[in-house]
Amino acid sequence: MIEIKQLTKIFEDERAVEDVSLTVHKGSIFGLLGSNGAGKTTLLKTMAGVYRADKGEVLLEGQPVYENPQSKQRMIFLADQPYFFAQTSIQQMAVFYRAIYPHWDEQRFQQMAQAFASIPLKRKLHRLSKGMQRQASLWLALSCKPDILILDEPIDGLDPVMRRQVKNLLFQEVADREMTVVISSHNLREIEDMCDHVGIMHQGRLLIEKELDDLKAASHKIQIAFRDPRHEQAISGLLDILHKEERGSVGTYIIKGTVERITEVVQTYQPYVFDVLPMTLEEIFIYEMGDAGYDVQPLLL
Amino acid sequence: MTFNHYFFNRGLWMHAWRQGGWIGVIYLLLMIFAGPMQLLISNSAYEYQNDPRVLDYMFKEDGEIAILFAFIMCILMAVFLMRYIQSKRAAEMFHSLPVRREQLFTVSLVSGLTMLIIPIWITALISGLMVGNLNHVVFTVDQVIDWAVSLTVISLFIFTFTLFVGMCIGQSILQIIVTVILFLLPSGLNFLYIRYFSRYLYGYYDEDSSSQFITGWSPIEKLLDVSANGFSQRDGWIYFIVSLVLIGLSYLLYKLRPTEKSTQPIVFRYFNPLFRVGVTLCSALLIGLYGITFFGKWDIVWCIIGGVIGYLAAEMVLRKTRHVFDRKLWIGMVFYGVIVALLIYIPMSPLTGYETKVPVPSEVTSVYIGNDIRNDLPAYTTHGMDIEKLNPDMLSSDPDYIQSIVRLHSQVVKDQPDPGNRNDRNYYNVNEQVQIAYVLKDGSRLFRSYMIPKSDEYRSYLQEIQQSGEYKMAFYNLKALGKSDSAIKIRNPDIPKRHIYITQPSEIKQLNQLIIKEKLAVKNPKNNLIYGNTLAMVIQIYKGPYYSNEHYYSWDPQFKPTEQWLKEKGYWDLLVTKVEDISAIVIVPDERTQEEFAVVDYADLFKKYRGTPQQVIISNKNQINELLNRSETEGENADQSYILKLRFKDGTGAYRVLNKESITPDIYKILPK
Repeated sequence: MIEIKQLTKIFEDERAVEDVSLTVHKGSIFGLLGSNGAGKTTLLKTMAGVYRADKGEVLLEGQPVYENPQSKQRMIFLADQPYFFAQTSIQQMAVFYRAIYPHWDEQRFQQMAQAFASIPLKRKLHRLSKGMQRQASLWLALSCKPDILILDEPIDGLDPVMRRQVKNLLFQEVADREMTVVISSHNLREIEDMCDHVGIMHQGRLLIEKELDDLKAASHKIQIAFRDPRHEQAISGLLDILHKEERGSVGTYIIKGTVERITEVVQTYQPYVFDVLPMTLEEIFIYEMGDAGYDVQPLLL
Repeated sequence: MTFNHYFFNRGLWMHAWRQGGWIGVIYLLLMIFAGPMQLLISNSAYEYQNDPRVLDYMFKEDGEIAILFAFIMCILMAVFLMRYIQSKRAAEMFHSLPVRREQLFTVSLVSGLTMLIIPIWITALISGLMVGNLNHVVFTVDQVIDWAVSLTVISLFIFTFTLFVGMCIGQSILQIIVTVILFLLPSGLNFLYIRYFSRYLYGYYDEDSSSQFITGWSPIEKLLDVSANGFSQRDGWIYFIVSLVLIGLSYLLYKLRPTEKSTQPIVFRYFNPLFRVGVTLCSALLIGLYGITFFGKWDIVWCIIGGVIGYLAAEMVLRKTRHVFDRKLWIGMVFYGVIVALLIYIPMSPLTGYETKVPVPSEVTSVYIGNDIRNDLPAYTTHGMDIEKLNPDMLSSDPDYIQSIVRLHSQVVKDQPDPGNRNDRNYYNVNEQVQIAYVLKDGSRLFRSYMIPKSDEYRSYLQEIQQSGEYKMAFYNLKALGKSDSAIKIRNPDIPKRHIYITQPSEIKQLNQLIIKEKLAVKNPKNNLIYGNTLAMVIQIYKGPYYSNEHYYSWDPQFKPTEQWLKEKGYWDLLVTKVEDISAIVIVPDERTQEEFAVVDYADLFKKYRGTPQQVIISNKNQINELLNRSETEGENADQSYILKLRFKDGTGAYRVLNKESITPDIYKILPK
């Protein structure tokens, strides 16, 4: 379990992360979402013990992470741009990681060679493409058998087959060993089917931290065609409508509240059409962020 | 985790060796070149010489080469091993590893030192095997070990210094630049300030550059002097202790260093003001000095221009952009401008009391006055002159003498007379350079240098000093002469092979006493033209192994006891030029102007007047005798009027000078008109 308590990280005069508290449970996959420059990467790096927190603390099973090898040997941080030593192959990097991480599993490393068949064992890593480098870093990371894997934008630059492959590998690790994964992305569709827990950051603060299912249950997308336009007015007084869009007589609404409550209210007006549609994480993100004042600006170019 | 795993992590060590190993290999090759190869080169160079080359210490054999290589390779080693904290991605990767910073730094430190020290000792081993096997170079195993230990300490120092700088700096290139600048800074600032002091402080005597105190702090300069001075054990200990302190500080700063500061010019913000002040100050002084040197005026303008450029540069480096022009910049510029202006002004201001300070006579233990402290005052040691220890022979403790010097000094300080423009041709004729050195009761020293106009206001002060016995003792170095037991060489400048050595102790003593008597009889040494002197006496007063220190005493024919003594001892006839030696004397006038002195020599003069009425050839014995008695072998340029060429019977020749004052009516008759 990772606990983050009132964490603040300041760069020069800028508060990159401000007063963030968060708990990630063992065996869960936590998705960290947020606008560009929201502070996701800073939060992840502080979590991994790369940065020192200016205030607050990061604890792994009650132990601090920063400058604590006991905690750090159980976690691996993969930055958005992987780093390898100059002129090294994956085999040479494996020698390094094997010496550094006590839980390194050589057998696992060999096994995974099949999954990452596109990476030659002896080829210099800096000659590989960005996507292949990413795969290589993941290969190394998983071979270390970490309890916690922190991934900053891991899916970027992977082809669809590889994305699936990587997701499968992560799922397998989580299922087999109860590995905890913390993953940041702004490609919400990519992590929607992975995370069971999400946090949304904006301007250094954590706006929401919920189980994905709770988050999805909290607001709904509904299509309604009312019998009388005045009915719409009536339900807007009863329900918390976040967003509305009309196409002809059919309106699409984003409404906060449980399905039961919304159905109950809407059914009283017996609309022509009433559909509850699944809401994507992307939609939740956009509406939540709109709530926080981060909107799609109407631009006419 | 086991201790072994914790501190001897194979992965980290191997990485460090991969980073720095190649530097170690190059270092080994360079050291072999600087050590054994130099010995072999020297060995073949001495093959055809009579004596083999005997080394006092290994650095004697172009030791600077090894030092220079050490500087380059140690800085490179430190920069490469610390590369991981200066590059953003590497810094993040390394600091995400389950390793503490102490361990990361220990690996860099120990592996770096190992890779630097092994090449030194391999080289020492090779040099050690050469001991006794070279026919023309003599050195010992102890000297080789001394060489290796010295280089080990020097490498340790340079390496740890660069590591320390790297902890404060977030960019590798800047780490190299700042390291080199800091190595040079002490002597650089000293150099700049001395230039300003000489210009602005009335009476400033630049003692530091002669004492080498500040320069000694500049490691590059100090170490690049190693073949002349060797590397002392004391310096070795200082470097060693400083290195330990730097290692401690580096561990501390690494703990404090935020990972995200890689690629930032300066890691710790509290160094920023220091950086701004440093760059602004150096730039103001340096550009100011250039302006002053080239234009000779508008000093303040140049300093301000330099300061502004320096401040802008510092700000651009700190903000990592050229776009720095905002309100904050101007406020900062004024703030730092004031600080830097004070740093420049205060040392040269009346606040220091430098210009007006004159010691009370009762505080003074001993005193020197003359025109060249740097040449006269240092003591002679086995390694040459050393201003740290003053030469007691040049100092006087006579209370009256001290009084009269303090009187002159007080008057000069009060009037601060303007000596005029240094570039004037007459500057050195109308002024007299006077340098005063006091040794005070508290052991401190006070050195001053003045250009005093030769005007009536100061004549009496100067005369009182210059006519005193104490002044003459120092002027002619008579105290040392009185103690000297060195052989005296007396030579005849006309005929080089006609010279004698006085070697008998009793005769040396007698002649020395005669010279002292003669010199003390001089009325004013600063105004004493000797006419008709034809013999020179050369005495090695201070004997050192690496230098010769000869004093020349011109014999004054007016002082008869010396001539008398030489005649009594029978040396006279062996020395002087006689009428019988000469077949003829050719006389031409010397009408060269001041400018022509440098380009027209005596031979040119005789060529010019050959066959003209202005050339006169004398072969009458009486006239030759008269000319020999009145002319001299060296003369004052201003007064000489005729040049004589002595033609000897053996076919050789020599020049003499006939001064206006020496022309008698008889000689006048025969001179060319």
